[in-house]
Amino acid sequence: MELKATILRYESLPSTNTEAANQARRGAPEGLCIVARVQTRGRGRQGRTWASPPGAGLYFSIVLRPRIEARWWPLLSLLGALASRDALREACALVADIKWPNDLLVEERKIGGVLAEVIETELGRACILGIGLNLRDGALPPEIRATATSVERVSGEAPNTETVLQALVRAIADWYGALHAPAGPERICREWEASSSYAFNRRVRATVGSETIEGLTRGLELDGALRLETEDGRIERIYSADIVSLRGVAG
Amino acid sequence: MDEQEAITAPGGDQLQKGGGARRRFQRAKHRREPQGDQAGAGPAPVINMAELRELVGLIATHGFTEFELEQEGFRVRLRRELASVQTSAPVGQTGIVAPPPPNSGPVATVEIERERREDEQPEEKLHIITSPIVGTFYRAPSPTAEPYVKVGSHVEPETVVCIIEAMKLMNEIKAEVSGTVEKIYVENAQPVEYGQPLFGIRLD
Repeated sequence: MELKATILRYESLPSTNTEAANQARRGAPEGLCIVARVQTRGRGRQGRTWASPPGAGLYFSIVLRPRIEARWWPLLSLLGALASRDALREACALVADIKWPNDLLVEERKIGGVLAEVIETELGRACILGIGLNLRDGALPPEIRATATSVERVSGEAPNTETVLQALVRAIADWYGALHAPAGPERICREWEASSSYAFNRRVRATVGSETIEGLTRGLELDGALRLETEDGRIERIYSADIVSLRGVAG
Repeated sequence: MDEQEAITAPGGDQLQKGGGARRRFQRAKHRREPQGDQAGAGPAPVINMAELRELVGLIATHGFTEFELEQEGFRVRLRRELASVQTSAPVGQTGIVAPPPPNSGPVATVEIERERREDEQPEEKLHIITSPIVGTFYRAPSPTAEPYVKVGSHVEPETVVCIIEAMKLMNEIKAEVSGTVEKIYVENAQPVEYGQPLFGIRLD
């Protein structure tokens, strides 16, 4: 299982995920990577925007056509976070934390994010894995400076975008290969647990719509769901929620 | 807000009404595992008394107020009237048993129906689009955007009808049939279970 990456570079795109999805629908092969120097309509989940000023971040999407059971596909979301963490470590000597399932944090501030979308194409289902990394301070508009950060801000040095890109593509290929190998899902989950301060014994609040649930984290299920032990000792499995750390709030 | 009736789902082993994160997380633990490829799957066995007792125990322990399980031509529905104290529930032989005593504390009533309820007859002709995974149901690409489909929308097999999100992986769900959307069983941004009905489609 080897992922062959082809990188298409654009000066400007509305969104690298949208472009990758369009190309995938027209039959683009697995491994096609779309990179833009600027995104005019960079986006996150549910229509949230991803600030993407020229050259300030890495704006990247890759077309994947996994040959794994449907129940393991959500692990691609975690895989995106693992690969991003690897890239930041290798290219920027930076250790990022991962908040479930796929936010990248440094000093509790978001330095990168993943937008994973599954679409139908003429070649079957495909996953568009989008990754945005804040490399320079210019990536951060004033309104997010309190909750986001950049490589330049935390390391004092602006990294070379191309170096980060190459490291990221390598890391995705490695983890993607691992996911397809025997016991792949387990490897992804164990590595995620080893990389995230949220994996164990973290007091968090999970919010789904207007409902919330609090508990201590107890690692991952094999499909990537977060295990949460509530006060009465039950283990809840979280598939879909926004997670907030209660450290400092509840001790 | 969408029509309330939207949550009366036909068939499937979903739980009726309510939703909400807490209950959903519990439900996730008790749902039957989706069958893998290897399951040559003959007809599902009819539930036996021991299993029924176990179910009653589960709803008592986990604070469900209602539980419904349907298999081919067979349905069990458990409902708890007052949920303040846990209890073991009376279970009878067949049919409707153990009516709640007057001024009762918490009790469970058990109904076993051998046939579908009449009020479901009109819906039997609808093609039901179910959720392929556990996750959150989104009717639109963003909170301010138009929904992918509404009641009355015409869909083709390739039409995207919703997004289901799990572990922040956004899954496009296609209609896979041609027809008209007649029912939408889940409200936007609500949690859904594996196999839970999402849309009822009147086929062309």
